[in-house]
Amino acid sequence: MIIMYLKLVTSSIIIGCSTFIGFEFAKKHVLRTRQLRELQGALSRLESEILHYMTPLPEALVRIGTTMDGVIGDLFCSTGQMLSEKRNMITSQAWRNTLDRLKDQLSLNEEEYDILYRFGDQLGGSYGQGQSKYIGLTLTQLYQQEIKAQECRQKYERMYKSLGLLGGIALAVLLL
Amino acid sequence: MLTAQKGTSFEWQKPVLETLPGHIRSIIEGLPEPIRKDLEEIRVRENRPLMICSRGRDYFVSREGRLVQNADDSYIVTHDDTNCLLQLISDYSIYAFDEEIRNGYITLRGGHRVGMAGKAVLENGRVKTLKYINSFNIRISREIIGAADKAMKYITYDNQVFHTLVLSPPQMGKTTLLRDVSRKLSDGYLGFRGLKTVIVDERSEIAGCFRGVPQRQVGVRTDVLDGCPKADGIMMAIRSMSPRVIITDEIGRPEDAVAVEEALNAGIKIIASAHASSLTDALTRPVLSSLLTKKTFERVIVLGDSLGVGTMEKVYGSDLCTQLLENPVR
Repeated sequence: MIIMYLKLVTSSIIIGCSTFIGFEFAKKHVLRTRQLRELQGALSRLESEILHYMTPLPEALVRIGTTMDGVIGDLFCSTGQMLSEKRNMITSQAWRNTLDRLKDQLSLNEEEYDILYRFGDQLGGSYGQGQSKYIGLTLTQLYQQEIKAQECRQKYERMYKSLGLLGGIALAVLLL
Repeated sequence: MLTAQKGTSFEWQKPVLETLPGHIRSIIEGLPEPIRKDLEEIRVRENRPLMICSRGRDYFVSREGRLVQNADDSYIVTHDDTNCLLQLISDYSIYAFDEEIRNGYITLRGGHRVGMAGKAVLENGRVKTLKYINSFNIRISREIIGAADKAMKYITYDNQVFHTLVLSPPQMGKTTLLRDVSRKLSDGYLGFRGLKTVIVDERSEIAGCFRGVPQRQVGVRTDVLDGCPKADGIMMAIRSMSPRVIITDEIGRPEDAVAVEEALNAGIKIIASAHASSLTDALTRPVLSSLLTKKTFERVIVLGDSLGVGTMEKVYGSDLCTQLLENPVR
């Protein structure tokens, strides 16, 4: 009788864990799409701060960052603060450092990091119209990535979730 | 005039140092104190030795902040240095300084100016912007309160102001004089009630504005049109700010003369400066000579350096013959 209970408890733990893992894998895809979308929103705002208001970059980054939740807000806020405090760092360094520091919270892939690094390299560097063009280019690239991310999400989100649950059940049956 | 009260000699350090890249910053901080006190310029040129100007001559500077004779011992400026410097002086926002870069300089907090050189990008034959900016001249500006003390009695009478033209070769204290004249006319002093004054500061030199706010003592009744072309600025000031006195520097273009005459007809007093080493020199320049022969200006002050920078060499009345000054004063 006791062994029966024990088996029941262990198998539910196994199933619970693997379902959780499955959901975690699925979450990465959900987050990736969300972060890509948030990035695009933030960059559009940055473009208007630069082109229309001529706001100095550190101020613009902090202003955008503080109105956004989550890691993307943090990325903008920290870069802006780093620029306004550590007066000995160039923009691309500050952007790269923050991006590297937040990598474990971001759910982006290598291709997307490359887009962001390239964006950082010219951030604040050229003249009004040039900045706007670069931001426009980055926005298009991010949008394409978002479409890809959505396809992945549709494909894998359900799969990971059910795989987690079914895998758990299979493991429980096999083991016990 | 220059012996009068000076601002603290190290006031320039904070705003200037915070725009320098780390290496260069520590080098400048390490300079011997007397040199640092009278520092005039920091010259940063990519792939070439770092240089400073102090007490009227220039020096190479070593990595440790020592003054050296030999260019080989000096600190060589790198591409990273100039790149970082450009970002720092523009507050990481080069896009916000299109106009300034087109004119070749950016004004820092505190009124210090950074001149820049690089490759010009043309559009329809005019300079659109500079790229590959690699040479910087950081000019430390010091205001000299009291520079105009001795000039005031030639410029004013019975709480009125004469139309005045200040003639001087470059670097002889023209702008310093105008700035202090503005302060005195605007604040007023014993026996003179302050007047509403407008400075049309095309090159941001007189008031040294940072984000539009004057960084120099230009007087309580003074409004500054910063970075505004003289001719347009004078007209704008007449229409909107009801000044009694307009102060502007370096008139010389035909449209400037038109604007000056417009101001005179509106009953506004003009105090202006021009590049010229003497009155005869000024009379050879078309715009100045037409203004002078029409007796537009009631006083002409000529600056020089016979007794040191900022000496008033001559003061003429409106007929350009009467000398009001017996001997040069400083």
